[in-house]
Amino acid sequence: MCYANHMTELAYFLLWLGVSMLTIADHQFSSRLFTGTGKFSHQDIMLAALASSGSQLVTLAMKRIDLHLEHDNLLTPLQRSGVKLLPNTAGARNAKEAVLAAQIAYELLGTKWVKLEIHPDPKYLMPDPVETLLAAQTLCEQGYTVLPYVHADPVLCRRLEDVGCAALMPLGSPIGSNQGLATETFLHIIIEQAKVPVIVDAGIGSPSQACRAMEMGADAVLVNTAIASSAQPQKMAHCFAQAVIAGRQAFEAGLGAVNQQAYATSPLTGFLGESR
Amino acid sequence: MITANTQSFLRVEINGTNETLPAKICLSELLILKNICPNSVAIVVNDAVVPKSRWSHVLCQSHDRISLFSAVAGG
Repeated sequence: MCYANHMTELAYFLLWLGVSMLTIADHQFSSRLFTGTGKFSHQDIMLAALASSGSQLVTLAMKRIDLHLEHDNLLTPLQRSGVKLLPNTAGARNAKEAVLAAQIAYELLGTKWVKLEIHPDPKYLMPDPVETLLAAQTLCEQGYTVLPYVHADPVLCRRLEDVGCAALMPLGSPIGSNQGLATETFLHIIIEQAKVPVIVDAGIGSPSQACRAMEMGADAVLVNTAIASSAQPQKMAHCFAQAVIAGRQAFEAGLGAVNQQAYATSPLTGFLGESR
Repeated sequence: MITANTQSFLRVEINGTNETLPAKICLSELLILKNICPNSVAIVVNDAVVPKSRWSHVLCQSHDRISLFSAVAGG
């Protein structure tokens, strides 16, 4: 598979476009679209979609294996592709379990990067802020690069920054819901205040929503369900990649002010008669 | 986990299921017994990760809770 070459070409293309690099901890990314690996109908479709997305950071989960089933080898093709792996702690119900999940991921993958997510409620998958903060503090003290998935709570985000998190991952709307940026008002505050990168995660259901998050000044977005559940995941992944580039460039160019009344773009001197 | 075991069999819990293993079996041998590729798993014994470098030195003990984890797709 030539995913690595494809990514290098994409990185040069993005640099040529003038897209600025994103730095998280000690790592630089030319793509600001991060992707998840869940919910794809087949591993080959997932790998094709990841390649099409240009994503350089992809998430995966840790799970107890079923001793009676054959297992897909997810790791080898992902490692060959050259992407950076971001293990998550999904399934953890409290800080203690999340710390153990991070340690399992380190043992298995050799990375101390972790997407910290603790959501004991199975219906809405709302992240537990108290346990997340506790786990973040412990993991940061143990030398992990912690990217916590949290509700769009500006106060919590500040606390997570204070304990040493490398980035913040506030949700747009519930995981897998495709509802978009329901938390937009609070995302604005988090983006304004944060001194570490802000990655809008969860709920982004369309390229336009990803573009909007980037226009707002988010440093990156993480998309999984909207790509994986598309009828054409590879094509949709490419659409998201373009949307993220457009949104970031728009943010860097500077959006025009929003006004409550009309301001003419053409001269208002009279065309046939007197000026108004 | 490392002390000598004098029984010929021992009862352990593996991924939530009670199992009987031959005595004096180390974690590396457990993976062979279960036909599991060692490169694709992490092992947790009694809520502590056991590094791969220790697998051939750590003997399973009666009532150990052993969990085998692998990476799976996720967002």
